[in-house]
Amino acid sequence: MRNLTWVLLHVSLVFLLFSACSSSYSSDLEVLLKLKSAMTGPNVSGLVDWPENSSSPAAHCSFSGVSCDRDSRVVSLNVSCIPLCGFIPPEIGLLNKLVNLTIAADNLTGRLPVEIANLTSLKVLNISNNLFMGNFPGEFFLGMTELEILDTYNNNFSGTLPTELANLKRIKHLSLGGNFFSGPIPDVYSEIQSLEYLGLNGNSHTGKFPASLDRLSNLKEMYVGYFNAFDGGIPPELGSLSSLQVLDMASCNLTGEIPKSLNLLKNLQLLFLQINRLTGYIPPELSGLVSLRQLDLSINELAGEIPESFSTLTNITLINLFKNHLRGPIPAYFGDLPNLEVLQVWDNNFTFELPKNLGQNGKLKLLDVATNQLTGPVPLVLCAGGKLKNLILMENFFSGAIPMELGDCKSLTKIRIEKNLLNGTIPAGIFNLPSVEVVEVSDNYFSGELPPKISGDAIETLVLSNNRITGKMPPAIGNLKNLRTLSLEMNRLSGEIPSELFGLPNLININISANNHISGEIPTSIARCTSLSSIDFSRNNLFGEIPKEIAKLMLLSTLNLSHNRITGCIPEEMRDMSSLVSLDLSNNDLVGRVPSGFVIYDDSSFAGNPNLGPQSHFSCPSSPGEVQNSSQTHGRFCSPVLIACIAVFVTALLLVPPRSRHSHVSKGGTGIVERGKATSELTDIRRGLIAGNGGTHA
Amino acid sequence: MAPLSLFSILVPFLLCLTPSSSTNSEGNALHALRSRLFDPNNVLQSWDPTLVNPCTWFHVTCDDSNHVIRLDLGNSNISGTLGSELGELKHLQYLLLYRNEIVGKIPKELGNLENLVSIDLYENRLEGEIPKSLAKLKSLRFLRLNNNKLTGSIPRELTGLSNLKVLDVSNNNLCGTIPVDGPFATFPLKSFENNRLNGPELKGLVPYDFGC
Repeated sequence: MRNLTWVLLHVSLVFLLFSACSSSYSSDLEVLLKLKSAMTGPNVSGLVDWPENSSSPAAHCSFSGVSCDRDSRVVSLNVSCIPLCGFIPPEIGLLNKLVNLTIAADNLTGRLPVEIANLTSLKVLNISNNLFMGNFPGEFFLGMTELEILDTYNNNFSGTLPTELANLKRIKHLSLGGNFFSGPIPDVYSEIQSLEYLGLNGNSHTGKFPASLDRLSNLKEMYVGYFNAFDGGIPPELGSLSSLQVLDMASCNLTGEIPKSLNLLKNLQLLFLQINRLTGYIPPELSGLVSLRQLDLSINELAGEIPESFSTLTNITLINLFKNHLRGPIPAYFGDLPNLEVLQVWDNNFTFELPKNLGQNGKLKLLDVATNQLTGPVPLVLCAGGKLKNLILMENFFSGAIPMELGDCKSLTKIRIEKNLLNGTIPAGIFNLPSVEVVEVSDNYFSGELPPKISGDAIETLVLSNNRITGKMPPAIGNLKNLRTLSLEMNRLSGEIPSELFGLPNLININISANNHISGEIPTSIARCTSLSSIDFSRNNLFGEIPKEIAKLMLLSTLNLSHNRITGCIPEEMRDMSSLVSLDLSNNDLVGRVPSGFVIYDDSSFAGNPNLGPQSHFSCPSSPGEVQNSSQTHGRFCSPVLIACIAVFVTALLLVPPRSRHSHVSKGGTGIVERGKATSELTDIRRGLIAGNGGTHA
Repeated sequence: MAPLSLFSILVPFLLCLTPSSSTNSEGNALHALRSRLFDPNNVLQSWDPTLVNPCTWFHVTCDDSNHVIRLDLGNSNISGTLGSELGELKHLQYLLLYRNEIVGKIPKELGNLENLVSIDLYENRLEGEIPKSLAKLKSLRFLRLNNNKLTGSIPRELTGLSNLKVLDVSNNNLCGTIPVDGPFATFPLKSFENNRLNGPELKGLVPYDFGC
């Protein structure tokens, strides 16, 4: 089969040469212009500085992206990152002096023309980030003996990987990832001894990962993960790849254990094995990876502890071990690692305390130890270098206070320390950090008061609920102009709701429930906060009336004012709040009747208001601009006489048997429309009785 | 040096390659929804699919088990279409997408969301029919589809929704007759106005979707 291919290829090459000689193109200039017209799709303009009317025969050498040799033959063509949307025409084969052909990210489509095989001088072929499709024609490349770089990353090639590429003796960089190649990685790729970079990531490869690839003694980088799905695990033989600097086998269904022979990879800087189904322990032997800078074993099923021997990994900057079944302590030497920037070990079973000197190296940027069983204090020096961005300690058993130093950590963007056993006062500086977007300290034992000075105007989420915070809500909270969610529920706040709060332009959710002592009236300025979607003021000491201005909140979906001492009437205007789906006004001192249109809420929304209800002798004003419907107006006056009249009328109707009612109409029999109209009038009245009034509702 | 520049472009890009989908199906569904929507006001800016769940995203509310129960995107100037991915939000109770410019059909997969209490799709540009599958939503209390371009008839099956308190399909292009059973007995005519409806159904006399 191979011999036949060779013969065919040689024959086709001869044909090509013939056709090249007898073609009508006399120079590379004409070829390039033909290229321009084919590569530029319909309705697309591109390569505008390749003028069609070039007169000089060597004009093409000054086209952008084109380099020529001394004979004005094109040796390099680099046209990239321009949306051309066309295809590669066969004429490409006439540029037979091309050494570098780079046409990346041009939105090109179709298949590679067979004439590409004519480009036997190519050293670099980069067609990455296009839409080329079909099987990859490996046979076209058999003659490209000089090829060093072949990059087809991110196209739509499919089928199995071309085995012909194993014949290329000079190829260093092979990037076939980001396509739809399927089937196993060919064993024959182990013969490509010159290979330094192998990219097969983001395809649909299957089968066992070939151990024979360990023969690629010059290989520096190997990317084989993401969307591939290998059978079995990491071959221990891969430890023989002595030149390897990057091993990326992430997210490709690997099972089994991490081979300890990987410790032989003395040049390995990046080891990415995340998002697999790896089991067993992290081999302590991996402490031999003296060059290791980044280690990612996250989202696997690893068990056991972090090896003590890893203290020798002094070059390491990133340790990702999250979402495994690891246990034991976070090693004390983690505080001594001089270059550690990222430590993410969340969702494991780690116990004991964090190293006291964690962050002392001045480089810590991201710390996430959430959802473990860690205890002890928060280390004081986490932000020693002023670089800490993420401080995520949530769902552990940390105790003691938040170090005051963290209130000065200006690099912080995210603080999530909820669900711990922390106490003391929240450092005032936390509310004044310039970059922090998320502050979540809920479900702890924090006490003391909120600071009078609040200026952290990057804060979008502020969750302080379920603590023991006392004092008043500071008016300075109105400075948090990016605030979207404010959660202060279940604390011991008192005093009034500062009206400055409602000047916040982005506030969506506010919950101050269950503080028990927040008092005062609901300010009419609440209407300024038009972005509000959810309000919970329940279980406090609010008094006064519900301001009718609340109806101006057109996005309000949840309103809970229950368990307060609110008095007065429920404003009629609230009937127009069409976005309201959840309403709780129970357990207050509201009076009068539930306004028309509120029948959609069941009784629990209004329960516990002794003077609220249909029997109430309080009368509430009706608002102007009422719908002009006579029965509704009558209903407002709650006239028993009217109800009696309607009852009599309907009883009279009901005395007529239903069947004869219909037949009465059909005798008239002028048409369906008339019939329908008569019945709908009856239904209106029937509805009016059920609803208690004749009106409509939102 | 072309090969060197290639290396320098490709290597960092590939190193930063993170999976576009996490292991959280609800986050993936919302991410898929976001890719269908056009969001000029950037209200979905916080929707980071690399987070472990979508519970910290704005306009998304989760319950204590980190399942999405509310989607609050009313009046957000978003356009684009809704897709079958909404059917993955199995714990969703409140779907609030009113007052936007959303086009296309109401996905029938909404009928799989058995916990839905409120569907607010009013004031958009939705077309196609009201899916019969909405009749499976036994907890539904609010169904507001008014002010769209919906066609076809009102599915009779919706009369089985005994918890339905508010139905508004006014200002659409609906045809056929108005059901009268179950909760439909309580809905005012205003909920059906400005359609091509032929009035209430007449049982046993006229085929249900007459005129459609």
